[in-house]
Amino acid sequence: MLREIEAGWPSAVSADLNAEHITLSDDEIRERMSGNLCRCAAYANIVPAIAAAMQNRSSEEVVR
Amino acid sequence: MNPFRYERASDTTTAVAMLAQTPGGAFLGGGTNLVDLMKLGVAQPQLLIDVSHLPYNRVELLSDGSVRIGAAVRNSDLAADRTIRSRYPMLAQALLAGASGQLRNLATTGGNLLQRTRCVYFQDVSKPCNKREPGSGCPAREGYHRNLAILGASEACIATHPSDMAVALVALDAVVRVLGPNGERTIPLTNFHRLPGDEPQRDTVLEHGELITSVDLPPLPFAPHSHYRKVRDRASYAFALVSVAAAIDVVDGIVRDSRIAFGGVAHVPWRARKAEAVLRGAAATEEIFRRAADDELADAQPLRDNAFKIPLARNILVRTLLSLTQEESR
Repeated sequence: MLREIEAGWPSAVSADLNAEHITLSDDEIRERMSGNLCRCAAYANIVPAIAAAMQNRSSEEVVR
Repeated sequence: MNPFRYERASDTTTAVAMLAQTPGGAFLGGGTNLVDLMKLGVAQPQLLIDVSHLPYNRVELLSDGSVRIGAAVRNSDLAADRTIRSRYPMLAQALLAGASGQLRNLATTGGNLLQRTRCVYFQDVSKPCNKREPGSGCPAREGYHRNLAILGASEACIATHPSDMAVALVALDAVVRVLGPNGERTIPLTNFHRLPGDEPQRDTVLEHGELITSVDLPPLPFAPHSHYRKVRDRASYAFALVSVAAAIDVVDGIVRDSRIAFGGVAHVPWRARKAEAVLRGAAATEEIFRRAADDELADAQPLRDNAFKIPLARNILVRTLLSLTQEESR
């Protein structure tokens, strides 16, 4: 999911289909997690956890 | 589950010849619908011919300005394609509104067009269904039908076509290219799916052994100004109750042309030609949009629990056209 966002793939809730970069919002995370069979896919703690993972990923890239 | 044979086709000609010889066989694309139907006992093919890896996995710009979508292009790749996103945004939106990321990663363009209805009686082998077992009856008329058809249905069948992608494609005048035992032919998508009539077991005009190789989109200069809007019971990962795909070309407040189709209302992705006729040459106002929707829906024959689809279809069409024309006048 994070790789799709980095590649600029839009989702059903992306406002601008042609944007170069996806702005990661809670709605983007929920939409992209909605197909997971596990019902806890977008529970309260999971959404910020994914946002944090994305943050870590981008700061790692900066360090590299 | 019934035993079946699996073959990976080496090329299209072999695939077509192999299926033509096997009346109980089927092509396998992403398998996101067919494999489910096999698990449910609804589909019992003796032979699956896997065509998902054949070289029809590209989105190409042709010299006449049209776009050729290979039948094996996955829904995810098509939705992310830059040409599709910029030239036919309602197609990218329709794809993204369908299923889930996991399913879109597998589902193919050709397979999406050939998916079967999600009517609960069709999917339950313990119940009668004229589509699954011709002549056995249709419990949906008296039973659970709030998600079923309001337009073009028959006494035998009130199923809806479940695809989002096909709604945008039918509005865009897509053409389906097919390879069969007797060679190639092309079928406009508007004629590809059938109304149920008294043969609801036949979803499309394809003959046994015919393989979809690509879907061609003609150029449409105002298609960058288009939108797909879907209403469903949940915010995500659900089939449409009603959806609309619309593109509109407005100059000086007058509608020059439009392309409109509805999903979730019929056995086919429903091209709204009556609405388009009302709009052509008329003022781009809410009143005209309302009249266009009413004309299209005048023949609707709702059942006990799906009459809500008529105002729902009218309202989402009007709202979609308003938002497209307001963007344009900005």
